[in-house]
Amino acid sequence: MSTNANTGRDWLEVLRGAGHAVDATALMAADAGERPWYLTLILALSAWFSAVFLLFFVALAVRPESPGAAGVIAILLLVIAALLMVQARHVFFLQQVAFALSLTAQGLMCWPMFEYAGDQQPSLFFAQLFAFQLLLGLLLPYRVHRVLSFLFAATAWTCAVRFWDQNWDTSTRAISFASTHIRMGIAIFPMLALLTLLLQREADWIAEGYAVVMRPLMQALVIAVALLPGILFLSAEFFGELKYMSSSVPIIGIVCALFGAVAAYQLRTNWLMAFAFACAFFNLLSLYYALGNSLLQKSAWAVAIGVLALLLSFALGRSRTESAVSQQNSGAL
Amino acid sequence: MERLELDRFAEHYRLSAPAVRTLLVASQAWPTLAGWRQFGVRVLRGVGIVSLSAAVIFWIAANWQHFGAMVKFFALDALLITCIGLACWRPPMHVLPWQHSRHQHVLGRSALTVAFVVTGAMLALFGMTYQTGANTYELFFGWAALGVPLVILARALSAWLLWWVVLVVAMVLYAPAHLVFGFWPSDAGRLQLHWLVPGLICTAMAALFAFISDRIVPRDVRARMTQIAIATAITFATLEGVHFAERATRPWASINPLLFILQTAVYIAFAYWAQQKRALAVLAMLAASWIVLSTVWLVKLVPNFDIGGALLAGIWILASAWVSVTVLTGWHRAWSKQS
Repeated sequence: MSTNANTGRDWLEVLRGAGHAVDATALMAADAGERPWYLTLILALSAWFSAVFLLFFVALAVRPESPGAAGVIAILLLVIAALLMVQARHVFFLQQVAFALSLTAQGLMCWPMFEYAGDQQPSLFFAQLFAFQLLLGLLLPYRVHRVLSFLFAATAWTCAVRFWDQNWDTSTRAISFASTHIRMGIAIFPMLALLTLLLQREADWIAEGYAVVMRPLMQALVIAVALLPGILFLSAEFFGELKYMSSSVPIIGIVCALFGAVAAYQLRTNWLMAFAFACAFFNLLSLYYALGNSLLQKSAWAVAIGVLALLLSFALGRSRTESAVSQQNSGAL
Repeated sequence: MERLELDRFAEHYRLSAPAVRTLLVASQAWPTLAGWRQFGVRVLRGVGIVSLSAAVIFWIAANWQHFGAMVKFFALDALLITCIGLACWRPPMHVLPWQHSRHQHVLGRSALTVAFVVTGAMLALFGMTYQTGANTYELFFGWAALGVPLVILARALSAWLLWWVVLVVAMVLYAPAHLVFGFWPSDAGRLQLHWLVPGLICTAMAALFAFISDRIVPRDVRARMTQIAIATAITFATLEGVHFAERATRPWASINPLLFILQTAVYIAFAYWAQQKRALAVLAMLAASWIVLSTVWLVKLVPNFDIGGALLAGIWILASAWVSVTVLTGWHRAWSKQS
């Protein structure tokens, strides 16, 4: 169904026309219009840089001498940030202050987490970070903050799996070919499954009132799925954990990035789609440098994939034309 | 309907799941089956073309050592001639006397864009084969100069964007090593105009794109390229400002009045142009540049930067971003209402 309706009243009529009972005793106020994404980016970046200076300020002013003290200060800052976010929801400047305070607290919180995990267990550190960021994403009610928290949580989750059973010393690490792929699967599959579920159940969670949490989660998952497999698993060769990177790693990265592009298309978010395609291209560049396979092998695979994709594109295009012709014929009849 | 607006709408009227589903379909927030098919065709076609191109590049790279110099040149020549031939067969515009079609062919545009890339590859191959001793920036400047007729004929944004990247890379490679002028006698006071001259070139290019005839560069491409040239100029100006602040030994005395006035004048001109054209992205770029430069100078000018300085800098960044975004959002809403 397609319609030219474009105001709140028109949409209400559309819903009534489709047989849905809508209580419209209090009409929704006209929206002032969304802020363009680059203005949101300025806000987010300013909060990050401000947080660096504020972290410096807190460190000099309070001088926490133990991880416990740093943790307590971080929790206090988080409580202040949460109160500001809830109480001053419509005061834009205070939201920014709260955002910067929260980022400062997150930086401080890394110290006790690192101390608790010890030098030998990076995965424990990342697991704590994952739980912490997930909690912040669920609790702190600011959309940009939620997207970042869920993205950090996804990154921490991937790192926890990626560095499982490893230590911080890169010279002693080694991951086998099979282990790399098992880790990739464990890290990526839950994110792909969750994203698919959220896409399929979009109408349900909007109706249940969870959009304020699920929408940022979905955006963060699209970014994570497109970005993380390529960045975090290709680094295994860079760190010397794998002698030669297999071509399968960037290929999996490309597939994940394309999945992210499909999800972004369903969400009708052009910048996310462009980001996902850029990630796919980055993985393609990495494929050139994956020394686990020869260039001739990679060339043969690329020919096979290219021909298959073009054939599928041709078949899909043809079925589209045929269905359009049959629709025209049925209309004429 | 945008997703966030739809979320608010559903929350306000407490819509049921079937009603939300109806709204998602009716507002086309969910792509239609035809939309999915079109998207699938485009993505698969893109994947196919990119994969086959990658296969050719991988194959050439695998056999590079086995090809003689003449084979390499002939291969690139053949590719260039094929591209030009395709562009003549399906021209991107009505330029040739025997072409009567007014139709602008995508094939011709793409062929000329590829021809521009091949020109760069030929220059690189020439440099590698004969060891000319030329610097990398010379290759890029030469590539940009030789590519001008091709991108003008291509009449495509993608071709102009590629050309712009080549020109910017040439300037980035050239500027740091060469644009150091001895205006002051001591080494410490030498005026290192690393990024100022590239910034001024970009400003001049922005003016050129703004005023050049539609017959040479199509109107929509001109509009985009003007904005991109201004954005690049602002980036260079910001880099110059940060670089200048980093090297300043006596903060207040190091501010060169001439440079300060020049940069301010250019920023005001950009802001005026962006206001007139309602180019919010350019205004946002200017605001971001101002936040960066003012913060860098604040950190530089605060004596013995310590606890107070850190607090001041943190608050300054937040406040300046808040003011900028509030003003820009207000303009955005006013312009949206008017249009």
